[in-house]
Formats: sequence, C-alpha cells, structure tokens
Amino acid sequence: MLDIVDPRPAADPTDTAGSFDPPTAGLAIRGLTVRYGGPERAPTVWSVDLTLEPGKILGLAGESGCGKSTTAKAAIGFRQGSETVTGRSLLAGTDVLALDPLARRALWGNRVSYVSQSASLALNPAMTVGRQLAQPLRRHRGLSGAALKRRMLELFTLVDIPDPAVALKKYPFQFSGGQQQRVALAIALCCEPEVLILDEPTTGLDVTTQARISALLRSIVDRTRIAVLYVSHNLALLANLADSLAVMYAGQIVEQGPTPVVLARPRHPYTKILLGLSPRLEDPRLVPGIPGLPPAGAVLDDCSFAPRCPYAEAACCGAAVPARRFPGGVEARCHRAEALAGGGPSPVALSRVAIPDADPLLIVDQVELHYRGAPRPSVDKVSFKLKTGERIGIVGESGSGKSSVLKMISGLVAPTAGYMRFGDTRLDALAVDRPRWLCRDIQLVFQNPDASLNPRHTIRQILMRPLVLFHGKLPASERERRVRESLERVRLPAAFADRMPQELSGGQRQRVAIARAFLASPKLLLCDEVTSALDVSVQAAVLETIAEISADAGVAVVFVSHDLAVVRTIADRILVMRNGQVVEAQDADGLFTNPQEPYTRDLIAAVPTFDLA
Amino acid sequence: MSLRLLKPIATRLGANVVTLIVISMVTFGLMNLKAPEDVARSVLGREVSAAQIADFVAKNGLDAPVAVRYVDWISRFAIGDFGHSIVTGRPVSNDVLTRLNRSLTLAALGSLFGVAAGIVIGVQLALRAGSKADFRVVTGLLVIASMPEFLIGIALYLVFVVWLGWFPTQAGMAFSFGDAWARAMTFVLPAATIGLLLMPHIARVARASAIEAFASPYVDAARLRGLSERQVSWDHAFRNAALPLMSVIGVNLVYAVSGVVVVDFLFGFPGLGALLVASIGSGDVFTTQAIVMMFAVVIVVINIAVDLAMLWLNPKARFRAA
Repeated sequence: MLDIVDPRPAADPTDTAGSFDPPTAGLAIRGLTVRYGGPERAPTVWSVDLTLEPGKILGLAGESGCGKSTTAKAAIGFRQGSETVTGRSLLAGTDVLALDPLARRALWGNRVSYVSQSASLALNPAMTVGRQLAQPLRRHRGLSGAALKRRMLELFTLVDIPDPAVALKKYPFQFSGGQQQRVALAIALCCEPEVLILDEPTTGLDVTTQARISALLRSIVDRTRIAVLYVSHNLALLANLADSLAVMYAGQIVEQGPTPVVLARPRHPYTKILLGLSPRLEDPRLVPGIPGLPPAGAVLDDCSFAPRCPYAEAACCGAAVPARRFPGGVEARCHRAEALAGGGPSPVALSRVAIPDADPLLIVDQVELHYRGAPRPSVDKVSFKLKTGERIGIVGESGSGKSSVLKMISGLVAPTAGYMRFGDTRLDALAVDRPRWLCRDIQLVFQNPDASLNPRHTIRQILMRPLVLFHGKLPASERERRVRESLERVRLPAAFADRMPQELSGGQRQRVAIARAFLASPKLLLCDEVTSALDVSVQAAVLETIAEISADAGVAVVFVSHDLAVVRTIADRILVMRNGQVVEAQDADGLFTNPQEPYTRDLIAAVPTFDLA
Repeated sequence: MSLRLLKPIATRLGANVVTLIVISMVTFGLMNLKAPEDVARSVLGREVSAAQIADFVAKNGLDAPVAVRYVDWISRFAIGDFGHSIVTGRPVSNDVLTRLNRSLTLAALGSLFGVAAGIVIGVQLALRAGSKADFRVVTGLLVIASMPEFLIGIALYLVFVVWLGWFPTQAGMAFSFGDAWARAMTFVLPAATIGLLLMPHIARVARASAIEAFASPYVDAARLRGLSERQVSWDHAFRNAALPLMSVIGVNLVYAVSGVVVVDFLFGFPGLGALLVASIGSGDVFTTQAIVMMFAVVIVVINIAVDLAMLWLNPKARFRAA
C-alpha cells in the first residue's frame, strides 16, 4: 500500500531531484537546503521538495522559526547574508539557483515575484506608490509614458484600489494596512509573473481585510494561472485558500498533500496537533499546548518532532525518518502515521465557573474618549458591567476603540466623559493618582512582552516588583517562595528566575508577564491582545494559564482581541466594537450561534474555519 | 505641492524673524548698556578732554536713550544701512560685506569638502561594515572628531606651512599684494580645517544611516522587484538614509560658520572672524553688531534650508506640516 519515496535523506540533497519530473511551468523546488555557518551547524532548511503548479496555491504552514520564510526566499535565489544554499529551484526547466546574480535580478519582479509580510515596511516610505509601481514596469517591460500610465491604472484596478489615478500619487503612509498590501500585490503582479511567493501577506491585518485579500488573491490566481506559494502560520487561513498544503517543522517538510486530504486525515502528529490547537469558532475548546520547544535547526538522525510527540516510540530516534507516500497524494515523515487515526491529545474546554449573582465588580457607564482634534470619539458611550470571576471579551477591528477601553479602566488615559466604578470606588483618576490598592486590584497585560518586560532585569526582579510594591511586608523567603510558585503556575521552570527576558521565547515572556500580573493578587485582569504575537501552540498554553488562574482565584478578566476564535475560547460574554461603539453584546455562545447585528455576522463570516463544505 | 508648502515655509520664516529680533536686542544691549562716555573713551583712549568726549557722543548719537538708539539702528540695519564705524568713520557695510563674502566662501568650501568626504567615507564604510578596515577607519574618525579645531588647524599649519612651505605664512598678505592664484591658495588650509572638523561627524552618521537603510525591508523588497543595484541604492536606500544625515549636516554647517572665527585667527585669514575680534578689541560698536547679526542671519538661513530639505525628504512630515 505504501511505497517508500526516499529511503533516507540523501547526503547530497540534490540527489533526490531525480525522483520527480520537473513540471514545464510553475516552480519546482528540489532538495533545497539552507545552512548558516559551516557544515557542523544544523541546517536551517533541509532537503525541501515543493512543486508550485500554475493556477494553484500551495500553502506552506509552520510556526515561527521553522524555516518557512527562509525556504521561500531561498527558493527564488534571494540571499540574506552568509547562508549557503544547495539544491535546485526550477523555473520552467531553468535552475534559478544556478543563475548568476544579474540573471536572477532579471527574473525577480518579472517572472518571479515576492510579497513580504508587512507592506508598510516593504514599501519605501519616501516615494509615491506610483513611482514604486513604475520602476519594475520600466525596467522589465520598458514601458513609459501613456502605456506605463495605462498599465499602472489597470493594475490598481485589478487589486481593487479605489480611485487609482489619485492613489498612484499617494505615499504609502496614506493607505490603510490592507490597501498597502494591495499596492504591494499590484507591484508583484505588474509584469505578469509565472510564480508569486507570498510570505505571511495578511498577518497583522484584520480578519475582514484578510478575508477580502484572500478572495482577491483567489480570483487573480484563477484568472492569470499564476503559481503561488503562500507562507503562513495560520493553518485555518491556508485550509480555506490553498489547493495543497505543506507543513514545516524544524526546517523539514513533515507532511504535504492536497489540502482536503491533509485536513481530513493528517499523517504527521505535528499536523494533527497543529490542527487541534488552532482555535475554532465552531468548537470553543483548546488543546493543551505542545510541551517543549522546537529544535534550533533540522535534526538529521532522529525524527525532529519525537521529543515533543505524544505518539513517539523508540524507533523514532536513531535514524532519520524518510518521507512516505500515502493514498490521496499525501507524503509524510512519520513512522507512526498509521497510529494517528485515533487518540492523541483531545481538546478540553477551558474551565468555566458559575458566576455568582453578586453586585458588579466593575461598572463602565457611557464612557467616552475623544482625543483633541479627532473627527470622532475613539470610544463612544461604552457601557458594560463585570461581575467577580467573570470573563468578558471585546472584539473589533483595529481602530475600533477596544484597547482604549482597557487604557481607561487601567488609568493610562482619562475618559473625556462618562462614569466608571470599581467596587465602591469611582474610577476617574489616572493610574498615577490612584491609591496603590486600586493599582494592585486592576492589572494590565500588554500585547508585546518584549516591550513590557524590562530587558535589564532578571525574571526574579521582574516578578518581585509587584510583591515589593503591593505586599511590602512579606519576608524575603516568602517573596522568593511566591516567585517560584508563580513560575510554576504559568508552567515555567523555577530556574528561569535567574534568566533575562531576552533568553526566553516570546510565549515564555508573555507567561512571565501574566505571572507578574497575578502576583499582585488582582481582582481584575485586563488583557490587551496578549496572544496576537504568539504561535498557536504557545497561544493555547497562554490562554489556558489565564483561564485556569482566573478560575482558581476568582479574578475577573477583560480580554481584548481581534481574533474571534481566541475570544470565544476564553470569554463568557462578548462585546463587539466598531468605530468606538459597542454594536452588540451577548454571551459567548449566543453571539456565535445567533448574532443579531449584520456587522457581527460579517466578522464571524470572515474568520477562516476548517469547515470544508 | 509648492502651494501646500507655503504654510510651513511661512511658519518657519516667522519663527526665525522673531529669533533674529531677540538676537539683535541681546547684541545691542550688551554693546550699549555702558555709559556713552565709556563708549567714547574705549574708542578715543584715556587721554581725552571732556569736550572731545561730548563731541564724540553727540556726533555718534550716543546721548539718546538706549531704546531709541536700538530702534534707530535696527530700522536702518533692516534696509541694509549698517551705519559708520565709530573708529574709522568708514561705512561698516564696506568692510563687513567684503569679509562676509570671503568667510562664506571659506565656510562653503570647507563644508562642501567635509560633507562630501564624510558621505563618501561613510557610505564606503557602510558597504564594508564589520570588517577590519571599517573598524580602523571608524576609530580614526573618532580620534579626529575628538580634536578641537585649533589642534587640527595647528597640525595642518605645521605640516603644510612650516615644514613643506606650500602656503604663505600670512594669508592676509596674499589678499593685499598677491594675484588671484595666491588669493585662491589662501583658502585651502582654512577650508581643509573646517572640512576636517565636519567630516568625522558626517561620516559616522552617514555610515550608521546607510547601514540601517540597506538593512531595511523596503531595500530587500526593491531588490526582489529586480531593480538594478544602482536604483536600489539611490532611490531606496540613500534617499531614506539622507533624512537623519540632513539634520546632522544642518548642525555641522552652523558649526562650520562659527568655526571661521578660530580659523581666521589661526591662519591670519582676513575674514569676518578676524574683523569681529578686531572690532571688539577697538570698541567698534556698529561693526561688532553688524558682524554678529550677519552670523545670526546666515545661521537662520541654514536652519530654514535644512528644515525645508527635511520636509522635502520626508513626505510624512510634509503632510503633517501642511
């Protein structure tokens, strides 16, 4: 039933190229290996085979640091520094990697285009988008004058930029994030390339914007028959968009095949777990995060996933795992592929406690925030109540005012109108003027732990801070005990106390930030997009931590996020915000099963799901 | 575009006119707060009769109140009448304008050399960032940057005038007796001193901003659009690197202009700096005031020019300003 494609990863990765017939169109990547440093270092990308077919989107999924961006850039011959790249990348039979630099330049932007993650960074801030679009058209197509102008208008129309003639004269900062990415797409498509590489093109954009750009991309691919490699960490997004899916772990493709087949029956445990970890609207449960961390580079003599794999057995270590072919055109590197059909970690609902019918802990009444000179208030007459132990979620697109609500509750900005009450105390002052016990009771966790943890302090110093500030009378040994205990609660080793924040991964840092907030023994925890910068496996662990501790200690939570699926897993009640106003407020289940407002329905519809009807 | 920029230009001009008025008041105040008799004495010397002093005071209008004299002076000054020197009796504008011309030429030559050399060295270093050569040159630049201008000047003077004898010992002689070539030669060492003063600062900032610009995602993106390295460098990297550089150039141009005072003194260059020192020494009130105001006007003009250049380089600021 199963035939072995690749008995062992070849010592010379280019050898494997012989086992495939390179297609005449699109891009065939064969045995692509990328190394930083000498041969003694583990390769960052190991022996990757991918085939980009015309009119098809190939999704490349994986968590941060797995080598997917490196693969995408290396495949078109773009060097970032001192890396050595071996293997082949065949564009209609020509090996792009064997070309000299000038010949490669002639391909880029012409026959092969690349769109990077953040259009706001990839567009030159000091040049009008029109000039930036004109440059490759002049260079590769020799267009000028009226013909150039006509083509530019055509391209801006293709990517749905309103009023193209005016838009061409604008600078990048005059566009929204979504429109900037459309501009970048127009530049990438300007010379009608055969191959388009998209590196996390919609990461950081709102779900609705993301959905619109995905739809645009699909229609362009169908019309132009371009071959697309779409790199993303968002498996749900790829599930909806990509024709076939490749999953990368520690520099290797662990599984690839047609999207529906891979999703219906993952053959690699990493794929299976990743699918389970992605929060789903239709099933608001979480799988506990994957224990451990991925290796720094490709592991060549063991299965690289074995140390974290719940299915691992002795045979997984000691030899490299070859890729095997399965029915339905799927390939996976796993000895235990057959064992995956059942079992494995199952999703668990986050613990929810019954909220006693008590007086509200927090009352927000008709609160408004209007910055001077702004055309409309950032927060416009927002009201809600929160009981002890209750978890409320606020969702909305960027600019909807959801973070501003948290800033007002925490006292970082003062509301311009309205009334807030915490327990029996009026919350009108800024944090600096509030009594210390109030600052202790209301704790805020920020989106980016890199910015909220002092890089010059050890984790111990960071965690001691709330103890010294709010529980000053504790003896030193008791403080030390609480620091250790809090690390344990967020599932970090006690030895981390002596480390510096930058020695930790992003998810670990965020857990330190959460531990710090809970060490103050708050009654209310405010979370501002706390998982937005994290991978799904880490996100799961962080959400679990927050839910668990809040349930244990009866802490009320306000959880702000643009990710509806994430909010659904944690919140009892959800407010939907738009343009500073609350457009809908319902309990979590009701909101998703029976949304009342058209805007809520749009938001929910824009979330990519694994439902492949 | 140009119409949109009228408002920011007008705002800057307005603010700078206010600056100039304040400078003129302070200067005039410092020079004129002493009694008219003392002013006369400092020009005429100790051994003068009361009648001579009274005559001098009357002739130069020193008996009027300070405020009146200030308004009288500044209103004439604004239309280009700098008054007559109370020492030599000649129109101040004659001396000041010739020397202003010379000193501005000197400062411009020096800055041009310093800025151009700084940018070239900085960009070359950026292209070799992290290499041994980069480290050595950066250290060398740091050494030059920490030297005061008189030390650089004296070193140049020792080498090229005293040891090599390539240049005359007194620049002033060339202006009085030399031909055009001899005059031109007198500019070389003072300009080199000013240039060396600016070069290390410019080079270090140019290096840093070029490294940053070349590492930015839009430069990678431009390369991945298949543009030539030339286009990538000029349109994408350097243009954005120029922004932080511009503000440093602005500060350094002001430095260059004020540097002419010391350089005049070191090389005996007959410029505005030398005249300033002489006129303060002889108590020549109107000449001193005129020179200080000239410096102020030049510096204000440089500041406005740098501000506008930065607006031109940074469209975001341009839209905010308009």
